Amino acid sequence: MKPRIGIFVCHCGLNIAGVINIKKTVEASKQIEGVVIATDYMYMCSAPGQNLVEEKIKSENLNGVVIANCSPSLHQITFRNAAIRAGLNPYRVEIANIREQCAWPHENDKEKATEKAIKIIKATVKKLIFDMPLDPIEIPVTKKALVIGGGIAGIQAALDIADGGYHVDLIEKTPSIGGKMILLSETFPTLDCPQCIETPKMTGAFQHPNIDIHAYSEVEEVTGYVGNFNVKVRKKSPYVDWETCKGCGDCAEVCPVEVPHEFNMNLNMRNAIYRPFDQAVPSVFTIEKNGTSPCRAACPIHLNAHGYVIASKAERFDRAQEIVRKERDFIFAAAAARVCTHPCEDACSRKVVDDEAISIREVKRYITDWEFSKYGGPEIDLTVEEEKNNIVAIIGAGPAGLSCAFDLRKKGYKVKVYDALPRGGGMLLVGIPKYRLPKDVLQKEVELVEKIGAEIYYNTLVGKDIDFNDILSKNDAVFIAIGAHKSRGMGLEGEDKKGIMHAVELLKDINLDKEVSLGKKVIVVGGGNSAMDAARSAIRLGSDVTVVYRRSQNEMPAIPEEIHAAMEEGVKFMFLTNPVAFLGEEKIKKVKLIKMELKEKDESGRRRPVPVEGSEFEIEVDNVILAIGEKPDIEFIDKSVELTPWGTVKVDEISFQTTNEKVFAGGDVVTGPNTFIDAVGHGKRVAISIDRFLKGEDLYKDRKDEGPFKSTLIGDTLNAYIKPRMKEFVIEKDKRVNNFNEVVQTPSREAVVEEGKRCISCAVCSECKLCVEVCEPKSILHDMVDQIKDMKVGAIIVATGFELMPLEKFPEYGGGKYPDVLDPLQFERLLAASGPTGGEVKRPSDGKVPKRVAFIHCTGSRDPEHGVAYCSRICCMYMAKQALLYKHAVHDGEAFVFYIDVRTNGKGYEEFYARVKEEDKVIYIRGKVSRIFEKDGVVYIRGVDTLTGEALEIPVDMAVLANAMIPSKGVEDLTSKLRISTDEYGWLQEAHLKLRPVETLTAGVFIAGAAQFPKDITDTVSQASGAAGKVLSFLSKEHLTHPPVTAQVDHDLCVGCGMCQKVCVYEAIKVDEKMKKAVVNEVLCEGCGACAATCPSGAVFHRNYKRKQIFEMIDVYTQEI
Amino acid sequence: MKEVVEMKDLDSNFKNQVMSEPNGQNITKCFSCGTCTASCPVREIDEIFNPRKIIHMVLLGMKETVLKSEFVWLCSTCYACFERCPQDVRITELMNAIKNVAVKEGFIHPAFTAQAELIYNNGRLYDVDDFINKKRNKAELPQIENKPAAIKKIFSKTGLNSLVEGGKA
Repeated sequence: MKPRIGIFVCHCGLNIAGVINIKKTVEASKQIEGVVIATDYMYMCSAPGQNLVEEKIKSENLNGVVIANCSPSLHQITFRNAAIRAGLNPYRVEIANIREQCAWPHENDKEKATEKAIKIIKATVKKLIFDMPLDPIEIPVTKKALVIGGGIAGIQAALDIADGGYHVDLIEKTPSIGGKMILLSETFPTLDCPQCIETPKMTGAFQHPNIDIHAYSEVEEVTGYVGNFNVKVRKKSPYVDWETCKGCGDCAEVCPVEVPHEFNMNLNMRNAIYRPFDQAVPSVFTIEKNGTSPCRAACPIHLNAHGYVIASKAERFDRAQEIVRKERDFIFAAAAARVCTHPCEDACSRKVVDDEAISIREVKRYITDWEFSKYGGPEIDLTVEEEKNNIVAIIGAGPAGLSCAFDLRKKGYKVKVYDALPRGGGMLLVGIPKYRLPKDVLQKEVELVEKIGAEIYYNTLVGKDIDFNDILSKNDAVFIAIGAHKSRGMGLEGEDKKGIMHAVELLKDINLDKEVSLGKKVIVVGGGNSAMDAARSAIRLGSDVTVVYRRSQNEMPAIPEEIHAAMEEGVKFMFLTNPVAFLGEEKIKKVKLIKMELKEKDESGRRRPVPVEGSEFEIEVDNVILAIGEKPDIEFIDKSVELTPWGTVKVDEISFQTTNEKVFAGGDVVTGPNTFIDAVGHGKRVAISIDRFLKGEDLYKDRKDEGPFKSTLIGDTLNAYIKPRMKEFVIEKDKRVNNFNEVVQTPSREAVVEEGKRCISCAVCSECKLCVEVCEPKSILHDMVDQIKDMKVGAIIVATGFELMPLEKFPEYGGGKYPDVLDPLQFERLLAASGPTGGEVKRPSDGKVPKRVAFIHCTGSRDPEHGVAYCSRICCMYMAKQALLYKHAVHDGEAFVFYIDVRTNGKGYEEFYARVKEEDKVIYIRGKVSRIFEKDGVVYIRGVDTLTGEALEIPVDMAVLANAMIPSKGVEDLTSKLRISTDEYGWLQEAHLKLRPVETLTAGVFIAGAAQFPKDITDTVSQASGAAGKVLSFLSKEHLTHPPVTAQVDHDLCVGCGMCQKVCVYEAIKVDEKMKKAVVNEVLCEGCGACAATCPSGAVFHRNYKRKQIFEMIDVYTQEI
Repeated sequence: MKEVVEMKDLDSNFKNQVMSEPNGQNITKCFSCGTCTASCPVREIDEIFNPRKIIHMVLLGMKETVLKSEFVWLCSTCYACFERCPQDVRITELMNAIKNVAVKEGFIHPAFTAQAELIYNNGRLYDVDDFINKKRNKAELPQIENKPAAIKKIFSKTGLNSLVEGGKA
């Protein structure tokens, strides 16, 4: 084809002609090879200009056109359409950009600019010669739309599209649509309240047959392309069946959890189950669950401490009892309420507030005492699920053995328990003194196991009274839970002398009511809980007791309560001291001790004690009690299961299975001496293992979080109820040291309720389930899970809105420090009738009506140094409105507005501003505030009135800042899913600021509202309707077209290296698994050229941007003129 | 003071002069919000020092008024304005830029000339006397003496000598 090219040079008024010599350019153009005509016109994009192009195409029979004008992003499409009208293939039209790339930057050197313009035209002609005539690619279209964001922009867009007859899915991440607008008091300049003007739109959208609202949902994944998007939406679980929820609010009334109300900008509190605001759409309730509270996570049996503390706060001890006793079938709840080492309290996040955990064990004590007084003992469900024929033998009737026995029996297994002691409870029976755990309380809990039908054989020592192999052969599964009752010795000289005894044996004798006599002077060796029990028991037997411990008090393994009680009762302590020899004839007379010092940390994390040479000394004693540890008494096992080198039973750490597959072990026999609650945890987990084993199921599936784990959740610390931790209710010292009566008494109901208020609800919902009881339609489903919905749509509108720069960003203004320095949405809520104060303006610090309020413009906006460079556009107007509404609410109040410029560029805005100044007499001060500070309890504004030049220092009751608007959180994540871009601040990038403001560069994805940039409601609604219009024109087409200027792959050259795939942001080019060659999805390809530039073998090229074309252009550009 | 400032009294090149000094280049960013003036501790004592106004006078071209004035010398360089300025006008350093222009144009505050003379003559800001050396002796420090020769060399190399010898810098 012989080129017949026409050149059309545009003056663009003086934009181009003012710099470039048009005449010279046209003349030079005529000389270019292949050019048959070159001409110019004042405004080529105008109708006469376009006509000129069309006419010349026809009259000169042109087969190619170069328009020398502005950027192709502006008018390429204009002239390609003109070519179509004149019968020329549009892809034979090229733009030579001589405005943005020539005239504008070179206005100081007209001659050189003209030379450059000629070069640009020449180069463009060179490219054009090789341009192929192309036809657009046709794409089918799914006639549905997706709108992301349920603010006023999203609602308006959804309504418009739905009214146009197409289906819309509206996604909103919070539980209600309405966005920021619904939170406002009134709107400028008309002073309509959003409750009057937005709620009709909200309900309109809800009731519209073409709109599905998906509240509390987020976009998970977007695949596909224009006209054919596949969207996965995660519907977050509201734990309430929204289909049946009537929105009555009975649930919120009984919910005892209180957390800051984010829809009231945290100015007041809401419940864990809540509706964002009264006008919410859908008008339903949602439960906020954040995960597992640290207390519950740390508990080896995951007893819901958060739940029963919160139920106690609500004085619902019946519910608390159910949580403590029934929810986890916890037979030892009353024992735990007395002796548990409470890992829950160690994990408690309340410590962040005042360094003191919730007194969870004492709360539980009240609950179990309440239970005992109401039911006469433990109240638990004894129903056996379904009788089974398998028999399980359990060796040891301690916390691990009995907990396992109860759980297995409940599942229907036949359970036989063997124990050497005369009664049940194991270490709880013989190791814990009566003054800590009365034996009648324990007995009642042990009896539960017999009540549910397990057979317990006491005074039966396995290995002596019954053969272990016999047990193995006669039962389907065996659980070894014999604990660690055998005392360790010190291996010192004279350790076998009379008068030296072991703590567990002493405690056992006392607990089993045997005759025990101690001398006057007793020393106890050790620093654990057994040492404390022995020491306090010895005090009660009338001895003078000294505890000898080789480390310092900080390293003592005993729980602090025990140490303090021992000290209070008169136990003396010798820290950093250790025995080296026991002296005397047959009976002990003296102990030789040595001083110790602490060195670096050992593997237990504690500092290693080392004897101080030559520091030995002797003291006289009558008795020595050794409390330095115990180990399992395991001889009966013989070699049927493998042991560890430490003399404990070797088990799998998840299933607790031993090396013999039908034998399981747990508790102290596995861990060595450990806490009671860990043993219960093992017992319960072994019950699960044995159940699965006997059913032939997988022992390991989904058991990761069965044991204690760490949760880092921290509840709301700012509004925590201020009250010191509840103290234990203990009997006076003098009344307890001479007997074994229980020391810690039932706490008072008031103290327990107050303690419940201290809880900061780390997981938000405590699962106390009081809401379930009152929900008449039975809508509350605490076990609900998130759902993923698949949607197929043709077009997407993103309307994710904005948020405010946080107050903490403005330390000079006391943001986040002074409670009466507010962000503008907080002040809106104070003005709004639907807000926390019912529309009365009261300041947060003390609830007083503020008489002087300062409104401060441009906080963060127009401040590239501390915030953002842009103007947030709406602050001038809403501050004027807020000042007006404040003056209307507080007639004798004074309002000061500090401004730099007042921008009132909208219909009725300037008049509104004038009214605020004239009628409402709001004082406008021109000058930015330099700082806000407190002096003698008064907040001062330090500023300047630049118009008088006077510096000002004004005391105020409240200051409202105009925090800069910033893009919503999570928008970045969303844009990468949608493959659309953002500007430097994170606002959504429009295709063209002026001419394509609601489109993105990704076909089929549109934007609306403040997600693009701050804008007022008027502009937001206009833009939303604009985006909806774009979508409607999209969806109403039979099929869509896509520009054919796409990447192509020469498969002879492609080696399948995949470099192109890595650089393609549109995911349009991929290496085919089978062919091992790159393949282009032309519909997704936006023709950016990244792949072609990256391809190392030169296999990828773009239609009409072939290598040859580009090199020809470079040749022109690099030629000397 | 005159009723009106006449155009012929304004030097539109003044701002360019200031901007060509180090850290003077951001003066045109100023949008006159007044944060600097409201932050300024000097202004609390003497109202004549008003950074916002000085900046605007420079932008308007009131060269003679600014350079002849006392106030350009009053900045205490506390940097409060510098930190709070939303537009990065770098006011504290800008004041130095204005002072530099003043010195180049032959306007210098006598206090600064006096200081320069001290350094020129003594080689240091404070004259070394017996008292100082006695004290140093007690503290076992080496004795010192006025050594103006090196400083004088620096003065003449940098052109500062014209300042102390009565000429323009």
